[in-house]
Amino acid sequence: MAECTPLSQITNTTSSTGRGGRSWTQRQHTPYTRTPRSRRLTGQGKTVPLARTPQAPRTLSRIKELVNKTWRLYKVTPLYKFDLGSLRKYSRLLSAHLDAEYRKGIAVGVESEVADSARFSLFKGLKGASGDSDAIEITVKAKPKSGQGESKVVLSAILCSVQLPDDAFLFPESFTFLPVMMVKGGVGLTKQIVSWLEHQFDCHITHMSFSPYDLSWMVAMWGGCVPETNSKPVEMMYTVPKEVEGLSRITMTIDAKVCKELWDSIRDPTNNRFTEEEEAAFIKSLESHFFYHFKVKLTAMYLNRVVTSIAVVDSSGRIKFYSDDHVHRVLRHITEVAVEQIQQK
Amino acid sequence: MMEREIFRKILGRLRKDELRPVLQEWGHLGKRLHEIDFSHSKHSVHSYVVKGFMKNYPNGHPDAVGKLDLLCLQKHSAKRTWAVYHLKKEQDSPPNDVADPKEFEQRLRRELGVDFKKMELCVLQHEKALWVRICISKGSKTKPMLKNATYCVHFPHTPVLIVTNMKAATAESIKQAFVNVLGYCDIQDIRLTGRCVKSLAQLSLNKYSQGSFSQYRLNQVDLQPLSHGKKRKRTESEESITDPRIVFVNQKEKKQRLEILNDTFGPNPQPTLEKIEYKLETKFHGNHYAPGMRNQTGPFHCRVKFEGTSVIEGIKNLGKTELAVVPLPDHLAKVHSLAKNHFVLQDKSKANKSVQDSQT
Repeated sequence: MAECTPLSQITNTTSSTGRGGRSWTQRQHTPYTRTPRSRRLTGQGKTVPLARTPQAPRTLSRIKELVNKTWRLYKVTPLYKFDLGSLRKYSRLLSAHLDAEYRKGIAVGVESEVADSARFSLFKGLKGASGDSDAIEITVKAKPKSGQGESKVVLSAILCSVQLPDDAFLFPESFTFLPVMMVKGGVGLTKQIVSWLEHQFDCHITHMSFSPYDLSWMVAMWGGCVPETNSKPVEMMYTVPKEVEGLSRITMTIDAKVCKELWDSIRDPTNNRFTEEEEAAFIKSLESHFFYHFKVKLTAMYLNRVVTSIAVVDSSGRIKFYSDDHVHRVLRHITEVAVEQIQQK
Repeated sequence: MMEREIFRKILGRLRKDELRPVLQEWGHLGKRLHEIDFSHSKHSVHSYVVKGFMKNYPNGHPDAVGKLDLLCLQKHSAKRTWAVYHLKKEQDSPPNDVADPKEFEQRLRRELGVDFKKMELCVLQHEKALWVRICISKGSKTKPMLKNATYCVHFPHTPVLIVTNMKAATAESIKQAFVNVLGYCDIQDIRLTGRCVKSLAQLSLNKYSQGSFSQYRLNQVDLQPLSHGKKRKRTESEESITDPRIVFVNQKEKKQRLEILNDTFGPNPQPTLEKIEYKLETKFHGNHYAPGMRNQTGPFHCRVKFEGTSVIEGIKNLGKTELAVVPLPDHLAKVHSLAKNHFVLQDKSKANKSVQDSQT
């Protein structure tokens, strides 16, 4: 298992080492993804902040607002000419766009509110390393149609990047890379905002969906993270192929404590990264425990939804955080997966 | 008026084509039923029904709401989850079964009237079973609320009771009332739940004639096979591919598999269950991939749930499509004969033997 080669040693050979440090221009254009041999689990990565750099005080961090809400995940290609200084200008432009859409009659008429104002703002606390761009939050407020009452937040979207992997894109200065977008709000409004962002910043925003393989990595990495309070049992929900009529899902729920024992037993504590062998050991051992009791091959089913003590993720890209201490860890992984999925295209 | 709203709520649960037969069976509209034009919108038909009822009974009728609610439930019993209870009796106690709905209602009213002053009770016979609706009001002055109604299905001369929507406050009294009325001594929850009342009844009543024994129950077995010569069986092939160049290599294994599945599950359609839950408290058995867990002696606590429209049929199909290895373990394959869908799997050990004995 090889470590990530530093950028200065980019070679063009198709080495069998998992994620060789190559920029996107030199990547092989094959239809296959290169499955990573190991993934970051904890730790800062290459750019560790110096001991004396002042870090943002925790009181300013708004991570608590992310917890216990269901977010939809999108992946975003780099934004062209996104300027942190002109957030107000963008707010005005987006509000005007939403207003114009409403007047055109395209906006969803079912809602009883009229989208009123959109605001861009900095979202503090989500920056992983100094190499990341600041996270941006877009909030859309709406007033009820009757004209009375206060305006309330109708949609909230956060664009962020948490500890971009070192061998990600190398782009010139005019691009800002915030690969992950989390949205909480109505579908119609989301579509309008996405189309505006695509038009304004020449980027491409698509739903993020997770394959069963991605979900099994997530449950393997986070299955052992059991916070002291509010620990939830680890759950894996499989959907059964359509040929089997009558049965639609099989759910396996494992007690948090015994899951942590299993996780500790397969894990090499000296290593900062979580390897493919460990992931395979975790999943395969659980599936073989299941097979011993039921003689049913879980490997042939599709893993659809994964619940751990720190987050619940499903294959359509919906995510919910349970613990604010671990939001960084989850988002770091999501950033990595988003970058991989963008590179694959 | 409250009655109007209650009627509208109950009628709203029925589909348009079900309105007329249900109202006919209800009977409280009498001749006015023929005056209603059912081709109008649902909302206006409901208004006509309510108006007609008010004209017939200006002061209301105590059993009307209960009867209508019960009739609607009989049509849509799959919308609620039902739980099955088993009544136990002592060895030589005299039977006190009742098959007449009116007598059952009288007895229940006497029993429940002791504890509750204000309640609505309605008993109807439907497809060889007695359907009971009990609606108890909390205070002495308030009227019974629709959502607090408990519904029970009892099959006469059997110790089976299928119940839905039992509220914690009144559960004990209702259970005791049934025990007293029917002459039993105790009632037990046998951990069998589902949405289809017929299937639940089949699983609990025909516990010993499921699987391949269902052929005997349904008269599908030839009692005199030697009295006539064997008919030449047309070999049906499941694959309708007639190209002679294609050879199926694993026909023998397939046949064996289907034979084993047919033996365990039987050729007849399985009773529908929506969910089977297992609680596993055995040692960890994935040690081949996680050698570090070999030294663990404690149980590996986990739960497994199989869900679907008809789970027993689904498990049979898992075996058919080779997603499961046949022969399946007993606790999965013989669910049709076990009359429960919540199981606890434990290791065989002396400590657990006493627990197992007490649970059977």
